[in-house]
Amino acid sequence: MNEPVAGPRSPTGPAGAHPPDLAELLGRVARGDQDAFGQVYDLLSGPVYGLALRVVRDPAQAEEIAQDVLVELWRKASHYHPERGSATSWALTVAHRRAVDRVRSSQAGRDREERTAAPAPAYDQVAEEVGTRLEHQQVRRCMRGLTETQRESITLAYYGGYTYREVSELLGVGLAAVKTRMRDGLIRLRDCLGVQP
Amino acid sequence: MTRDPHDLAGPYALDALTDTERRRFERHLPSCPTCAGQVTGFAETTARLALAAAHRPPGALRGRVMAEITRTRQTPPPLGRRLPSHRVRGLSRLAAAACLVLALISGGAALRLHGSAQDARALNRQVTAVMTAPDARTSTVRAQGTATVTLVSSRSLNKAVVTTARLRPLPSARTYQMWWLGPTVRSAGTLNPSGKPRPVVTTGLGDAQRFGLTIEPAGGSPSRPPHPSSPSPWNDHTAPSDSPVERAPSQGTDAGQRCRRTRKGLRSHVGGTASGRLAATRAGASAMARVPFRQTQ
Repeated sequence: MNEPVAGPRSPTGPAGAHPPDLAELLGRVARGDQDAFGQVYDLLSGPVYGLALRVVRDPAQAEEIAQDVLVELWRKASHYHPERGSATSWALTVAHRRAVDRVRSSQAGRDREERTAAPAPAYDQVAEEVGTRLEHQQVRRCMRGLTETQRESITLAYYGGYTYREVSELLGVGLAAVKTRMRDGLIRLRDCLGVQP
Repeated sequence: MTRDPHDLAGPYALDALTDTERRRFERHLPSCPTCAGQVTGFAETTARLALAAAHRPPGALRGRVMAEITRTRQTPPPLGRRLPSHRVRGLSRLAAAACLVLALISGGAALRLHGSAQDARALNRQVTAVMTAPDARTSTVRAQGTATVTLVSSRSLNKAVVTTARLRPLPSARTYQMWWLGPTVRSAGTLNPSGKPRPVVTTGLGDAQRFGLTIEPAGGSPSRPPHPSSPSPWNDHTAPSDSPVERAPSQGTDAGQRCRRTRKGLRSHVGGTASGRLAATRAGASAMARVPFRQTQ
């Protein structure tokens, strides 16, 4: 299973160096290798923190979530199954679920309600890392290829942490329509991004 | 609640289900190859959405995370999976752990006979914590001819698990006592091998470099060098030529085979330079098996 071509880069790593393979690093982490975990941190801390920040919209909480997630990756490195998908996907699924759990917990949810009154950060504002920019541009291009309703549904659910029922209420459309938009939007994104399942 | 979870692959991949819905869909997945295929592709897709949101975290986070992992126990792989055996040390640790688990099962049974299943569970948890600590190290030595003493120690947890096999039963006026040997000598508790041997969890590893086992008056001796009249056996770093300890094969030994060999008393030694002996001192009452172990900080 290949890692995404435009994977995250180490903020401190040498430019152009062959990026370490995350799956191989996780194998070493599962055997207690702290140096390997340091490299995992360098690869994933940006996406994990950025994703949490995007969902909870609060730097302090995002930092807490990122710390929890990264320590969880250390704890559960042996649970990664290469046959079930890429290591990046596994790690970021853990991160997203944690961020969503947090935002759905009562206080965080109420705080979010207040913050969502403010406009969401534009893509350009969140993509500040050089290594992220290409990934970011490609995702933005593919997001533009979705219908507006598909894009809204996916954005509210993934970056907003809303359930599809909440998305249905927010957009004023039926549950079946939301499920279809999410599925069709993801299929279109998957094909546009050239994801190899 | 949707009656057919078949169409929930999209919301599932976006974490847009409630916990109940998610569990329901996950039960559905094994019977729906189409859903499973979609979920895998969607998960790779949402990972790209996450990568696109990357944002440099505060610089202090790295230090906090790296500090936290040094005191965080890793969970073992789910049943039925094995770690890749790139390193003999990891494999051997698993072998030793398996042996200890075998010992633990009988220990748990013995405990239950005495009426405390709760104690057995508590012991089980403690033993598992030490054996699966990322810095766990195992040393085994032979004592009293065919007896073995195995130590699994974790500096990060400040604990060790001690198991023994075939230690000679002692008269009621005597007990085995464990010692931490380092810059200072500290008691690590007593050990009674009567009945079925079960693992003992001992704390206070501290800066100890060696572990010792002696025969003491019942109740144990206070924290001082046992039998001060005798030459300090733990200062003698030279293993006798007929040292009962042999190096385990450094590689190529199947974990199960090693476990069986260990259980037969052929000793397994991992990750240290174990040497030890059981030496009757001139005082005649005490004998010590030394189990040096290397424990990285």
